[in-house]
Amino acid sequence: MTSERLQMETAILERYFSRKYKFENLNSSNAFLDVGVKTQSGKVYRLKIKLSQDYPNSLPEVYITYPLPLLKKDGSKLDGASHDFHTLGNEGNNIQICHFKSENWNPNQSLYKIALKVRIWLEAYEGHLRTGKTIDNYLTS
Amino acid sequence: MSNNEPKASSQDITNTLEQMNKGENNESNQLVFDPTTGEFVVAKPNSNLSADATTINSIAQDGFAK
Repeated sequence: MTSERLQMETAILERYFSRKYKFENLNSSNAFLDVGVKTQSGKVYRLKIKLSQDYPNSLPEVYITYPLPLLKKDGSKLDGASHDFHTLGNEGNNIQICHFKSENWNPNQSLYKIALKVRIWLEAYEGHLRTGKTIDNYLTS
Repeated sequence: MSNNEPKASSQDITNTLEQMNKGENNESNQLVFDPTTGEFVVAKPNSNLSADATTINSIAQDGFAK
């Protein structure tokens, strides 16, 4: 990510997620954004948004890193790729979740918009915990 | 958006998402992200939203990968 792009991303995040984010390992192959997100119910989650060398040209991968493991209403672990739950797989215990469709991603989008997408995914996840309905009941494909 | 808009409930949010997912046109209150609190609030129909207001519809309407 260029310094100009980093400056732009930081300005937006500071406005909407002030003091809840931190860039890690910038200028390395392991760069990511660590973001804390609080849902409407007050529960706190942490996200890891991986920043590939060619960000923002490619769609970043997003993982939930806290709390772990994420559980379904029936107590089983939310694990692996699932159409019903809009997940793509795992990296250790971290669950990779779906956010932007690749065809809707372009360099004019931002990390802030990804965080908001994930916020909606988390609201749908908590809806699942309340009602038992799968996440795809709440999220438009 | 004024600061007097009531906070949306978790159920408000999931109900809105479910209606959008079913293609039901929601003409009622809009849910708007308030960056000062990090919460969604309920904006009355026809209320004047600021130019940079982020509604739940604008976040979710282009869909999620699966």
